[in-house]
Amino acid sequence: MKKIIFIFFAICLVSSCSLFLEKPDTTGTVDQNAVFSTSKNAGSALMSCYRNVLKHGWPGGMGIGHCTFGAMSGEIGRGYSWHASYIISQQGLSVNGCDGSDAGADSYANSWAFIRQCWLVNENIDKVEGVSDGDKAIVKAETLGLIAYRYMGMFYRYGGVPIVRKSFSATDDLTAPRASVQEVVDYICELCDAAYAVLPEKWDAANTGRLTKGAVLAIKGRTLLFAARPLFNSETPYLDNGSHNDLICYGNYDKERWKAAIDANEAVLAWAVDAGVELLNTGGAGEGQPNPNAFDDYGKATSVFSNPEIILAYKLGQQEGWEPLVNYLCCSAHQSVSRFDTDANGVLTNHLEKYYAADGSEISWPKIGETVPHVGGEWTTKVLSLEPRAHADIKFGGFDSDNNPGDYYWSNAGWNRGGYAADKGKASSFPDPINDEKGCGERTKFFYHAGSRTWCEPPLFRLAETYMNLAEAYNEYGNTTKALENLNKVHNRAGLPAITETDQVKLRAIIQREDAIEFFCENHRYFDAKHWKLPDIANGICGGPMRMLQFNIKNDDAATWPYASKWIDSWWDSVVYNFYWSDAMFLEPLPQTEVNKGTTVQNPGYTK
Amino acid sequence: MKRIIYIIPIIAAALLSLNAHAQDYSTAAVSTATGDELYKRIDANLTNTFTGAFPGLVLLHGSGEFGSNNASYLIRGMGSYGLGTWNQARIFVDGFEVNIDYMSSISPAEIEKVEVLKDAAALVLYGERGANGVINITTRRGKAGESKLNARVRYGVQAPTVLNKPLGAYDYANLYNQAVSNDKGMVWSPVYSQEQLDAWKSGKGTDTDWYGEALRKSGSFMDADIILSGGSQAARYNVNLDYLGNKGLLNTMDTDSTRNLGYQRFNVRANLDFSVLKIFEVRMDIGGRIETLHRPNYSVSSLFSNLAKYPSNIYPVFDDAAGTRYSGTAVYPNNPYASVNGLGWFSVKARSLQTNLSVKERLDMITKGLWMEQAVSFYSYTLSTYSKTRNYARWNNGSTTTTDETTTITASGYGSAGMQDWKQGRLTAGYDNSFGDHNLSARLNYGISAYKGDGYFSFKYNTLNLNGLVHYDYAHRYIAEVGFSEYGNDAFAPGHRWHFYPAVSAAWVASNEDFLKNASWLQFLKVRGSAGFSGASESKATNILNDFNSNGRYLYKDYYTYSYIGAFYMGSPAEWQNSLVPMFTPNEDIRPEKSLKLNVGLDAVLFQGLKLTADAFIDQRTDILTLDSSLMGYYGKQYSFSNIGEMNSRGFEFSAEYSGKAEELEYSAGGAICHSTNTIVNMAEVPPANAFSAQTGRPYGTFIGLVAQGFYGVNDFDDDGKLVAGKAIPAFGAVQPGDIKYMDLDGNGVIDQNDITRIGRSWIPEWTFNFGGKLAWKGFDLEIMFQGVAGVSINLLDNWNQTVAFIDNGNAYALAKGAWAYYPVQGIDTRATATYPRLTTQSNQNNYRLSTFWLKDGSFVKLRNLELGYTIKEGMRVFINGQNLFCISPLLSEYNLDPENASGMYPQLKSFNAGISMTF
Repeated sequence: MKKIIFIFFAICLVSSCSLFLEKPDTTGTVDQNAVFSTSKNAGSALMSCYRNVLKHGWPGGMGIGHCTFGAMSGEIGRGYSWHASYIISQQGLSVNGCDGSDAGADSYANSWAFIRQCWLVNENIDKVEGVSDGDKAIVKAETLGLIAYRYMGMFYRYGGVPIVRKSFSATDDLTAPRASVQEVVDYICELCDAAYAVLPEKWDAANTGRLTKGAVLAIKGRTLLFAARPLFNSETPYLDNGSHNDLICYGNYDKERWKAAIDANEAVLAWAVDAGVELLNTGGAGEGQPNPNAFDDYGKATSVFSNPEIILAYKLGQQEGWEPLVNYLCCSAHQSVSRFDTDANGVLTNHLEKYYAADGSEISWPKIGETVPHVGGEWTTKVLSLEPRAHADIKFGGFDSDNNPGDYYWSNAGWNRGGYAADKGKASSFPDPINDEKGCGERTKFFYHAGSRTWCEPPLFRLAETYMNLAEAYNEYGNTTKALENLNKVHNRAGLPAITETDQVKLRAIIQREDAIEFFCENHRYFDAKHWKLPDIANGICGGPMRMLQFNIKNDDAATWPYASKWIDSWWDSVVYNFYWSDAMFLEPLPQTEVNKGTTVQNPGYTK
Repeated sequence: MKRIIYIIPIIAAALLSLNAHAQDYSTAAVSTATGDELYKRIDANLTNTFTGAFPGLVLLHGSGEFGSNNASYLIRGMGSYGLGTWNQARIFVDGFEVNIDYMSSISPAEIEKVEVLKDAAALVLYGERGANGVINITTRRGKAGESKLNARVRYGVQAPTVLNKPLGAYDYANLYNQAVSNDKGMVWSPVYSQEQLDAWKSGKGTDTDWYGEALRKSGSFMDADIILSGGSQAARYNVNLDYLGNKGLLNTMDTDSTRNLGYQRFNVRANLDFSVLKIFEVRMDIGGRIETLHRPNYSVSSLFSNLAKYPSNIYPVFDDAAGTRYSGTAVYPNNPYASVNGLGWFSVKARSLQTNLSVKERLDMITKGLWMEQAVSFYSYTLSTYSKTRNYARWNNGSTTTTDETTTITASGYGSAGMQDWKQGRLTAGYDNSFGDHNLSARLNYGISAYKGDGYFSFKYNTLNLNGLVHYDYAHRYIAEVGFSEYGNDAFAPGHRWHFYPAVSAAWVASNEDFLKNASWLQFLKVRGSAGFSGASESKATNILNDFNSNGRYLYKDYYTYSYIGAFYMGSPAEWQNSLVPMFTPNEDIRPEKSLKLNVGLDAVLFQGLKLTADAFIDQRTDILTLDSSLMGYYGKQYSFSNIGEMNSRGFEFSAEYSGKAEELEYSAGGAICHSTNTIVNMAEVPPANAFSAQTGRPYGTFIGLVAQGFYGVNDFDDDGKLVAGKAIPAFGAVQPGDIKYMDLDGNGVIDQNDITRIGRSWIPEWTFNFGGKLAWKGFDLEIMFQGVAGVSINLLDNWNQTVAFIDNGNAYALAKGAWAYYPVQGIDTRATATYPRLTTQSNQNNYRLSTFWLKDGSFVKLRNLELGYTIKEGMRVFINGQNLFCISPLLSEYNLDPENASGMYPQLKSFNAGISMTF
């Protein structure tokens, strides 16, 4: 009898358990084999590489939960107290991160996660059936280009970083110390060259947005420009890092690095001709003349999807609510879900002063220390005298946005939150701020004729950058003529008369100012200012006093909120906060947790 | 005060246990309490009645909110990482597993006894359900004989143990002026004028007591049950009906449009036994419940967060004199009184049914003592919600401040909020026989369990358990037991699904030896020991995978996810693309966590009345599923899991009870003291910059933080406001006088997170104890029970709203009055006496971070139960009872916080109750 029982149990065990414990019921998941079994799935994996890699530095892709780089480089206000830019304004970049970042204003770990994704696609794409060898080669080249893009971003954030040439498996030797500045530049160029050989000149309409030869040339062009700039191209680093100075500095100044940057950017121009990519200038005024269509051309170049000036854009179109790109870039009243998060990002006087008057002359703005405020009508006059780019970039206090004329939600009346630092009967506040969040107006860049669209496609490389890179590099290399020629391409396009300055030092400042205007909100200023090692960096650029214009509204019952500009009684400039700066912040910190593992060296000035 | 807390348990240890588990021939370490004992701890939630009832069970209470007031429990302290469902003791009712949802609402009236199984001998059959111990509940069964009807009713009033209210408007405004001035470079810049201050002082300005407005003084408790039992040899029954109603503390009425927090429960249980043909024993158990929880349509935890955060001076309850417009502003939009009264209500209903059927065959005709049993259990649980909602306009000074509008009440349909079912079965072959002095019993079980709940990845659990044991007893003196579990689990890769867990144990009943048999001082003495393995197959390590939180399961496949990232737009016009990303590195070797438990124990009865039980244990955990965070970042932030975690825990339990009788006075007194602590051996921690910052090598949950050294003084800064040379620079932003100064432990001139070290105990208490006594005299009976914990730390910053003043429009509490401030012209100078950093309205990373400054001793002793009863006549008893009547704790005396609810959420309750019990 007992035997029978045991046999009974044995049967149960053998028959039932193999089935009963067989398969996890994990609906909605696929494994690696499934991903690389169909071209549809593999394409999806590639698309996630695009989406992740190219988001570097844009809202949602910085590693921090809120804000933009403009809020940390003197373009716009620092936002609300929970925004990273606000926290950093008080405490500087932290090795432990803030607002979700793992250190500073970036996610170091994300970069590696996304590079790994690229390598996984690169290594597994050959398994996919039904895709031609040629197409597979292109996918591989795209992943290399994307890896180069992310390395470029890390390069100007951190200096040297480890060189990763494959997807690691858990059993690999994982000791890879940070490579030198030189090695990283070489690696990025190597990746770009390999991708360049395979990528198409341009894509058909259905595939526009994928990497082209021009995109990897542009990555190389920007990388070599940063390599030539004073922060890295120097005998001594910005702060001594002991025996690890090669991670943050070349250790010598070599003028030929500017030449390399020139060559790389000239290559972009050469490609552009073949690929039909051009600087938008439809005015027909001719070489060296102000472009009469400047407002529309600049607006289209920065806002219209896949316009001819775009070399590479971040093509993530997603409606408001979930997408940080919308939540922190779109200030318009069309954005209804998270618009409040752009509420405290008013344009700073620090940036406003960069713009030229439409005729190329200077505008005199209120100064700190003046004993009386300016009279209201002056504001209207000065705004109207500003160059076209200012009008495309900013909805000025009390004005409608010029970007979307006739659209109620883009008008002052429909803006629905005032939109500038204005309040009634505040004359006695002078010279103190009335409001420390709103400034002279709010951003409208990327939304030229956008109407109710709340998302945008931020340009990652526009041909305007190539011209500006060349202007800078030629000036440093001593070729003033070529520098002016390239600078004026951009400057004239903006409707401004040609620059003729030939003094290298003065021209350098003009070029830097042009960069600050042309690439407002395009994530350039935060890195440019640091890599130029601007002497005033702690005095109102990345650190120091941040200023906003203040507007006292006439105490008149007819003046109703939102106040039109005609009701401005008096206005002045005030320091609204001081942004924290220390010289360590020339480069980003690496996460303390990563440094603690022993292989990775921290950048100087953070902790030892 | 502290000393009292530490001395009390030592005195208590010399006394007795309320539940000493003594005279039997088991080899196991088990704590037991009867349903009648638990009935005296008056609480709607069964887990809260466990307090002090089981030596070795660590209970952690939190919010007292009905529906969210399950106590967390750990058997013998923290054995593995963390505290959560993955790590808690498993629960079995009448031999079948249930979950916490089911257990927390069982009525004590249904329960015969609850056993807490602690050592390898007790857990021998449980395999991968055993590593964290088991709570085993046995329900009441009918006994052959006279039918009996027991009816009981009890009613009580429940009030908060503590409510920590903020400062009034006058004090708030005074301190706020200081905070703003501190932020303006210590230049006196008051925001509130003297006029306003005077108004508040004389009681004229807006000064709302939000706790007083939104809460009522007390709630109520009502419980009535009937137990009907009896039967014949052939058929026995125990039928049980219980109604329980609990009313909460919110200041609103139960009407069509409003509901106070409340809980109602109906329990029915029928346990039936039939003996058929002398061979078959049939058991049929049905236990069902309907539970309803309702509350205002505003989460109670948000309400308490608002109560803590909203200052007294923001606005009155109503903006108009008529009381029709609720106040509210954009910064403080959720007027607490209106949250309770103006938003409608929400309810959730749970229905559950457990049905067990078993048939046992006595096969003595084959061979004497042989039997078989087949059993099945079906459990189902559904949760649904129903609500009536409305909104209200927020008014301030006669105009609305937000886009909210007052709406009429709208009913929502029923919606499902979760379902579970659990099918279990068991086949058993047993053999019990005696041959002279040799007593042998053996069983072999084959169990199957299929659980399905809601969820994406972790809703299905299939397990198999082949287990058995042989128990041998020689003359009730020498006892030995060997057992095993061969456990199969669907969580792991093929080839890694089955694991073997053996255990051995032995006991020696010395008091049955001839040389002790007749000793008058010794009635019973048993020494026992056990060693064995058990496992645990669930883990919180996968919590980091938001999209694949599988409870540590299925980690052997290289899964990609579709949903994680969204789309990238290509082409012109844009075309939607799907995206796929890998989630983690697959690992085929993932296996269950393993526990090796060693236990030695002693049970004794001395001097005709002194019962003693003592146990000492070691629990070695290996193969704990761990996220390997030591991988370098450039590996690609790929989550990698492996069974590399190791932890050791150890401790002891001692309980004693003395009972006796002096003429008509019966008395007993006793207590228990338990200790458990642990060491993390390996948790793949990233080695910190300085060894003294490590978690590894310390008990789990140990607070690691900065060491505070008082405040910066005026002389620590130069004229530019910079720290004078030679002072370590804090890396948490600029500091000024009155900020907390920390020790630069690594001496590098910078104070940062590399200077953190062990600054206190863990948040899990090392010591738990209880003591008390009983008296009975001429129909009167009196019972008293104290319970407490020691060796535990609490971080005040976990109660951010009631600790951190002003930041993010926050409130201020009494402790902020001790703030550092120096305004000689205004006559303010607390430099020498400050107990709180200088006030600020801006975020401050320097002051408000974990340090010795905020870490406090969380020890306490509470009077848990005091009951006076009188038996009027046979079968009729009346009683009055008090629960949680007082607490002695440094946290209470210094910060007005209940140490069991230090986060200031819905309060723990004290209660006064009265009841009657009648048996016919």
